[in-house]
Amino acid sequence: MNIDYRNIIPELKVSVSTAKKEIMVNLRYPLWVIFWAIMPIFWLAPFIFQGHALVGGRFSEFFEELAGSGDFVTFAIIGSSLYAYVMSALWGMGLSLRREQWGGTLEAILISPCNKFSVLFGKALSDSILTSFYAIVQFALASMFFGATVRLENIFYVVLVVLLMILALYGIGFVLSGVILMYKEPGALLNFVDTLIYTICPVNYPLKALMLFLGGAGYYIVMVSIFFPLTPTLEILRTLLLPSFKPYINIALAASYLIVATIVFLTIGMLLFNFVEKKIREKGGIEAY
Amino acid sequence: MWLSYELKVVTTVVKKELVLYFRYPVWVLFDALMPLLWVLSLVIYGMALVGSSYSNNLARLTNTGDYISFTVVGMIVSSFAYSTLWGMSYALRGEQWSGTLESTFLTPCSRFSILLGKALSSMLTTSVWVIVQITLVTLLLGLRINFINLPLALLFFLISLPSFIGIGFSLAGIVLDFKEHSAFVNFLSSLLGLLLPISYPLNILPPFLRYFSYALPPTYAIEGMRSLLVMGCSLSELIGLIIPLVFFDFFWLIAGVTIYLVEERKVLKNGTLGYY
Amino acid sequence: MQDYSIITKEISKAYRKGEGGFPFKRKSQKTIVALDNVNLSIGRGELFGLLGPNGAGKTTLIKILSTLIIPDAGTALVNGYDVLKEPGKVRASIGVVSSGERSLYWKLTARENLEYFARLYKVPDEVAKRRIRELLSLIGLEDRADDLVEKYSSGMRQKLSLVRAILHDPEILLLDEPTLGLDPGFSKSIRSFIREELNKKQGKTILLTTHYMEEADQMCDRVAFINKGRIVAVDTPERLKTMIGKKEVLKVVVEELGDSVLNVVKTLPFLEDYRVTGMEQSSRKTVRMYMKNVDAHIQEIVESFSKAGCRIISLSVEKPTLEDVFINLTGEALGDEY
Repeated sequence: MNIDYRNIIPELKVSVSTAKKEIMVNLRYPLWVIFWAIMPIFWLAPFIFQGHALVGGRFSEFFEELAGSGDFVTFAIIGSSLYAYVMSALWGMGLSLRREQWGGTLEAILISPCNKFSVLFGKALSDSILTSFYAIVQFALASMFFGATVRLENIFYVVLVVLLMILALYGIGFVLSGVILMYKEPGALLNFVDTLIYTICPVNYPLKALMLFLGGAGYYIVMVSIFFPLTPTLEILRTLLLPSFKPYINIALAASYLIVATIVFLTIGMLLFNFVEKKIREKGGIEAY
Repeated sequence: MWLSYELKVVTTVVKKELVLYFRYPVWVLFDALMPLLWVLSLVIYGMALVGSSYSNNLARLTNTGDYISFTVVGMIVSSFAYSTLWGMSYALRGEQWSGTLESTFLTPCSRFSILLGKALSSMLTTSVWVIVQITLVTLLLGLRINFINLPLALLFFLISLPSFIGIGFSLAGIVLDFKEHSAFVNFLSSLLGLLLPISYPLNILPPFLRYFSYALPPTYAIEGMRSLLVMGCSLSELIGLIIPLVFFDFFWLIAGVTIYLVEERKVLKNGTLGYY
Repeated sequence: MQDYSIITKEISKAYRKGEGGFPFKRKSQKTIVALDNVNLSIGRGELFGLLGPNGAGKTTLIKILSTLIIPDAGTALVNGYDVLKEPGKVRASIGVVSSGERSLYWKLTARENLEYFARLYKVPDEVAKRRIRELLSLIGLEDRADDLVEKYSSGMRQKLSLVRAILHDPEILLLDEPTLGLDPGFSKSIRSFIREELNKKQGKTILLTTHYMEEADQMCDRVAFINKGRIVAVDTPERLKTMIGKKEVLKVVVEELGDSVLNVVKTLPFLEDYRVTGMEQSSRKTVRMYMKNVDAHIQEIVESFSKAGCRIISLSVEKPTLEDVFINLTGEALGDEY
C-alpha cells in the first residue's frame, strides 16, 4: 500500500464527510438511537439485582478484598458503559465490509480509486462518536437508577485513555472485518466472540475473581484477557474513577500496551485488507457466503 | 385421519429441522458453548461478591443459599422457555431468508403443525445442550439438584408449555409481518432477561417491575421448577403457581392462534410473505 | 359449459409500497396496481401462457391462484375450489414452480427435500419413494439425488423445483417464469418436459407465465397478453399473430447519430407502424418496421438510413411474432432488449 502523504488532508476530508453522512443517516432513525442508548441498561440491571440478592446491599466485603473497592454497582456501571465500544467494534466495524458484500457494493468500494482506508476511518469515526454518546447516556442513566460514586477530577485522563482504547478496538474491528469476509456465518462467530470477551474481561467482576475461581485455567484466561484492549482500559479507568480501586496490572504498562496494540492491529488490518483486495483482482471476485 | 396426517407433518418438520441444524456445525458449536459462558460469568460474579458458593442473603430471601444451583436452574428453565418462544419465529425468519417459506406455505398442511414442529425441534436441541451443561456444571462447580423431583419438574414444565407455545405463535405471526426481526428479538429477550427471576428472586425487583414479571408465564415456570429442584418443595405447595399457569395456557393458546392468523392474513394481503 | 380448471373472476390487486416501517421511520406510501379486473378461464388439460413484460402482474396472479396472496377484489376457482374459501383444497390440487432457485433447502439433499415436501403434501411414504425415484430419473437427476442442493447448478435446481411441484401428482401446475435465467440447453429440456411429459402425456392443466415470446409461441395452446395488470388479448398463438394483418416485419439494427433514426423512419410513407428500441445511452438502435411488400422498399430504406449518416449493422425480414402483436396492442416491448 502506498500512502501519498501529500494527500493526507484531502483523505481526511473524505473521512470526515463519510462520518458526517453516517451520523446523519443514524439520526434519521431517532428511535433506533434511543433503542441503542437504553438497551444496555437492560443488560446491566440483572447483574446489579443479582448482586443485591446475594449480598443484600450495594457493598460487598469480599469484592473489596479482590478489587480494593466494594462498591460492585459502580464497578459494573463503568464496565458495562465501556462495553458499548466493544459491541460497536464487533458489530459495527466487524460487519461493515460484510454488509457492503451483502449489498453488492463491496467490490466497487475495493476497486475505487479513492483510499478505502479513509472511508473505513470515517466509519470508525462516526461509530465512535455515536458509541461515546451511547456510553455517556448509559452511564448517566445507570447512575440515576442505581447510584454511582466516582471521582471526576481525573476526567481528562479518562477521556485520553478511552480515546486510546477506541483506536486499538477499532483496529481489531478492522482486522475482524477482513476476516469476516472469508467467513461463512459471521453471526455465530461474532456472538461467540462477544460473549467470550464479556466473560473473560473484567466487565462485571475484577480480574482476580477469574484467577481465584478458575484455578490454573483462570491464570491463562487472565493472560489472554489483558491483551484485549478493554481489559487494560478498564483497569486504568477504574483506578482513575473508583476511590479505592486496586488494579491487578501495572497502569503505566497498560497504557503503553494500548499504544502498541493500536499500531499492531491497524497494521494487520491494512495488510489483510490489501490481501483481500488482491484476491478479488486475482479471482475476479471473492467467494461470498 | 386428519390428526394423524398433521402429527406426521409435525414429526417430519422436526426431523428436517434437526438434519438442517447439524448441517450448520458452527451454530451447533455456538449453541453448546454460549450458555456455558453465560453460566460461568454469572457464577464468577457471584463468587466475587460472596467469596463462596453460599449466600446468606439469598438464604434469607428464598430458603436456599446455594446460588449456583439457584442460577443454573433459572437459566435452564429460561433457555427452554426461550427456545419455545423464539424457536418458531426464528425458523420462519430463516425460511423467509432462504426462500423456502413460500413453498412450505403452498402445502395443504396446517401452519400450526409446521410451527409446532419447529418449536419441538428447537426444544429437543436445547435439551441436548442442557444435559451437557448440567453434567459439566455438576462436575466443575458442584450442582445440588433434588433429582427425585425431576419427574414432577417435567410435569410442571408441561403445564407451562402451552402458554409458551401460544406466545410463540403470536411472535411468529408478528415476525412474519414485522421484518425487523433481530431488533425485536433483541429487545424482547433483553427485557425478559431483566424481568424473569433467573439469577435473583422476584422480591429483589422494584415493585413496579415485579408486576410485569407476574404477567409472564416463564416467571412461574422458573419459580416452580426451582422450588421443586433446588428447594425440594412438593407439588401441592406450588398450587399458587399452577393456577395462574393454567389460566395463561388457555389465554395464550387462544391469543396466539388469533394473533398468528390475523398477522398471516395481513401478510397475504400485502403480498409480502416471502419478503425479508 | 366447458370444463374449466382455473377461472378467475374480476381479480384486482394493488400494493401500497412504503419505505421503512413503524416505528423506525415514517411511511411514505404510494399505490401500485398489480392486477386490474382480470377474467380468465383455463380449460382442463390446457397449456395456457400468460405473456407480459416484467412487472405486468404475472407473478401476482400466480400467487393469488396459489393462495399466497389475497386479492383486493374478486376471487378465483382452482380445480373447482374457491381460493379464498377453501385454500387447503386449492393447495392440494396445485403444484407451483417459481423462478429463481430459492424454493428448496440448500443444505438438504435432493432426496431429503423431496421426501420432506412429499410428507407435507400427504403423499404416503411408499408412493413417495417410488415417485421420487421415477421423477428424478425422468428428469435426469437420479445420479445426483443424494447431493446437497447447494452443489447443484441453477438449471438443476429448477428441474428439482419442478419435481417438487409434481410430487403429489396435482392436476394443475402454476409455473412462474420456469426458465428465467437458465442457459438455453436447460431451458429447452425443461420446456419439452413441461409440454410433452406433463401436459400431453399426463394431461395436466398448466398455467405458465413468461416474458419470452418463443416460449409462449412454441409451447402454449392459448396465450393471454398481460400488461400493467390488464389482460389485453387471449387466443391461440396462431390467431394472435394474424391480428396484425398480413404485414411483414423488417428488422434493422443501426448505429445512430443523435435522433436520426426517428427522423428517417418518420419520413417513410409506406410504413404502417414502427418501433424503435435500444439502450438509452447506447447509439445502437433496433428498428422494427411493419409494412406490406417489404421487397419493394428495402432499397429505399437502406438509402434513407445512409443519407442520414446511420450505419446499418444488420437487416432481416421476419414473420410477425407474438412480440410484434404485443407491441402493436400495448405499445410496449416484452423483454429487456429487443
